[in-house]
Amino acid sequence: MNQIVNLIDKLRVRLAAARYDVWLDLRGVPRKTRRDLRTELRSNLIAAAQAGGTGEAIKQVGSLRSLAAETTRDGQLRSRWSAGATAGAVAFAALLAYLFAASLYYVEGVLDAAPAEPVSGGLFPFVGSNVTVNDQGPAGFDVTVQPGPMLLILPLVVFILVAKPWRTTWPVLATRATPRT
Amino acid sequence: MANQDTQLLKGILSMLLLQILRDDKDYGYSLVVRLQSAGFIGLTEGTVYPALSRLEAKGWLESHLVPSESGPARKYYRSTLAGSDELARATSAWRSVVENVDRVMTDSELPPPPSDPRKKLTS
Repeated sequence: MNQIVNLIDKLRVRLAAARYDVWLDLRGVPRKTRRDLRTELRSNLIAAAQAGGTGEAIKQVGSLRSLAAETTRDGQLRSRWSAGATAGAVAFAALLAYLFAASLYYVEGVLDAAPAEPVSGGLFPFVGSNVTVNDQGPAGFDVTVQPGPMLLILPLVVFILVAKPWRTTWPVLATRATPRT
Repeated sequence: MANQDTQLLKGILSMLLLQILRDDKDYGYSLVVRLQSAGFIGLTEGTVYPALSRLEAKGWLESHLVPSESGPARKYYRSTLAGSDELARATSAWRSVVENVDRVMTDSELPPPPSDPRKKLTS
C-alpha cells in the first residue's frame, strides 16, 4: 500500500464503476443493489490502485461487462412489461390532457383576435400537430385538432424505457462475454 | 502453479473463500491477494468479486461496511452458519474427488479390465 491515489486516479475508478453500473443496469439489477456493487468495486479498485497503480487495478478486473455478467449469473433478467404499460398509459393520458389544455388556450387566443380567416398552427411538443380554428362570428366557431405522431411516440418511448425489453434478449448476448479467470 | 485450469479454479473457488472467511472477515481485493499469495495466481478480481456476491446471495456469507480513509467504505465478508455447513459439504466432496483421482492416477487400486470387453458389452 504505497502508491498515492490522486484525483485523476479516483476519477478513473469512478468511470470504471460507472461503466460497471451501466452493464449491471442492462442486466436488470435493481438500483440499490447496483449502488452497493458499484461502491464495493470502487473501494476494491482503490485498494488495488494503492498496491499496484490504478491502470493495473482496472486491468486486473478485466471486462466490466463480463464482471456484471458473472455477478448476475444466477439472477433472473426480466422485462417489466406491466410497469412499462402502466407508465406508457399514464404518459399518454398526461399528454392527452396537456393537448386538450393547450388546444383550449390556442382557441381562446384565436377567438380573442377575431380573425377574418381560419387560423391554424402547431402545439409544442407535438411535432406535426395542427389546430385549425375557424371563427364564424355570432354563428360560433369550428375547431379541428390533429395531434400528430408525438402523441403516440412519446408514450411508446416511456414504455420502452420503463419496460426495458432488451433485458429479455440480454442473456443471449451476455453469453458471448467470457470472463477472465 | 502456472497454467492453472480455469474451470477447476472456478469449481473450488467457493470452497476456498468459505474456508478463508470461516474465521476471518476480509474484503474483496484483500482476498484476491491472499489467494494469489497462496499460489492461485490465475485467480483475478473479475472472478473473485462475483463469487463473493453469489455466496452472499446464497446466504453463505454476510457482509458489513467498514469506513476507509482512502475511499468508499470497504465491504467485509464473513462466513455464516449456513456457509460453514456448505464448507463442510464442499470439503467432504473435494476430499472424495482427490481420493478418487489419486486412486486412478496411481493405478494401484483399480480393478483389472475384463478379459474380453466386447463379450462383457454384449452380455
